[in-house]
Amino acid sequence: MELNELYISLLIGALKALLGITFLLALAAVNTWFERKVSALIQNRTGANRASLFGMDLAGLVNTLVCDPLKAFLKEDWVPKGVSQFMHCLPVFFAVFPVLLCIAAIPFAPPLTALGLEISLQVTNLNAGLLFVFAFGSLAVLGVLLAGYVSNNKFALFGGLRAVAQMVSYEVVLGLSALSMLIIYRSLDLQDMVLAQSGTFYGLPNWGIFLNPLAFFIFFTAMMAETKRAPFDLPESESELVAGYLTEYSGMKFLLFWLSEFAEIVICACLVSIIFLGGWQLPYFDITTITSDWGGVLPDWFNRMNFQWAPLLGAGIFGLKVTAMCVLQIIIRWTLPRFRYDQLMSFCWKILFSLCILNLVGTAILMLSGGYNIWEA
Amino acid sequence: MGSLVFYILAFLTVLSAGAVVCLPKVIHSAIALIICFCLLAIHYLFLGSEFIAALQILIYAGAIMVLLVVSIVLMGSAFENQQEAGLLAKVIGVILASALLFVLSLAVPVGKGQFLNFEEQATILFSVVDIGQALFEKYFLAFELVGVLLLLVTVGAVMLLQEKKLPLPEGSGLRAKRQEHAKEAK
Repeated sequence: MELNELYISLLIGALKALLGITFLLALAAVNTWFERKVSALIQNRTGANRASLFGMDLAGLVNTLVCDPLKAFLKEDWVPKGVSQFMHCLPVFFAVFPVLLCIAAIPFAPPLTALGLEISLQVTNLNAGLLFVFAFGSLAVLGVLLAGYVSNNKFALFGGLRAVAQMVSYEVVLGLSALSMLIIYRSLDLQDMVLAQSGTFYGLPNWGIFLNPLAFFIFFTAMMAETKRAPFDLPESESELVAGYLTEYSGMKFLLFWLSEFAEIVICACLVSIIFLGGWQLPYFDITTITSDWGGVLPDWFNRMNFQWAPLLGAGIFGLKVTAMCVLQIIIRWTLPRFRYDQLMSFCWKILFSLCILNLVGTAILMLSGGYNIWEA
Repeated sequence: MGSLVFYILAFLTVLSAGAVVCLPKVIHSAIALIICFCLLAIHYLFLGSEFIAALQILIYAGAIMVLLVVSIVLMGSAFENQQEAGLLAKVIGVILASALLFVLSLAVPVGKGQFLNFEEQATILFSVVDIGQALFEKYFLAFELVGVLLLLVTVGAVMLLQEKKLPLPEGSGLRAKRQEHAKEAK
């Protein structure tokens, strides 16, 4: 009996991990399509439309999801002089692996009750969930830095060092803006954060973005800088550094770096939706209260199954929010011009950092004076 | 099954720690150290302290190793051509290392059978709340003093890094040269 329970929990864990990783990779892949189509829309072009399979181009999906990876597979795997193949591959591992791990702490939906167990729809239920994501995010810096070092190329090295300075600086701002939200939610657990955002607050939904709008803007900006995309794409600014730390990477290695960048966008969108947009919650409506029958529209055999709508709806709402945040990031990337490097640094340390400290002190004062009593309500 | 996982993890941790010392190239040692820190984080996870595990990766593998690798990247050649240590240095090193090992081994209660019984120890949870309460209630003074110390260190580092502005000799600056040109043009 005990062994059976062990097998069941292992099976459920494996299924959840599979679900999480599929969600992340599928959305990252679709993001590459968004990237090409949205950029085309903004620049008044058509975008990817050449390749077709059986006469269907599916609005460029064939081009971005079939032809581009295929091209990367067939390209020459180039290793620069004086660098071993192993050392050249290592940064790719450091870039991809931490980002894929981050999805483990993300809650997708309200808990599901099945087989007499309450299954939390989150790969692991960590009580330090947000810190876990930040920890693996900080490992991604190493991938970029090592990529610059093992490329044996001054442009790449310069790009790598720029990336480190940028990511480490913006990590400080990211952590501080998240800290002000931790004060409000009183938890590091991401599922608790989502649960804290139910209900209303002076007529508005009880979401982080309404509780603390300044923290949302700082967090979102810092997250954009962490993903190293325009207007923060100085580590790989093509006009100055060839392609920065990516210069000596081709074929599948380049594609994996690219995939990790888009996976970072998805993780970033997940975190923003969970901390500031209520995760799987709907405004003014508690989806966990939905029970079965929809006023008798559904057939009888379906009602007898006691189907749980809340996890399914929650996952759908969460997916929509994450997708919207991904598209928003892509729109920003194609709309704003690049910073100059000294502007980037002074923006972080002089403006964002001071705003963060002010925000933190303000939030703490409001919290102590009882301005945010979301748990009691 | 738990102890088998522990032994595999422990073996890998010691192996990577050994690799840090033995590998000839300094960048390889740094990577072995990152792996060692990550494996230690897994040990903490098995002991039920997720918070410590996350901090181990965030601070050691994330922050400190990034600093170390940056310094290797910037001054890599300075590390490569080092002379081998002399006999005296080796003897002193061995004595110091074994003394440290002896002191550390005193801290591990092997004889009482607590060392291997980590499944039982996993019931002691170190959650964020526990650590926060310990820091802000029991060790509050020490915690605040460490904050002051860190502030001092930061100010000191900025002081050391600040360039000493020496007074320039007359007529050596760019502006003085421009003014000279302007005078000549007149």
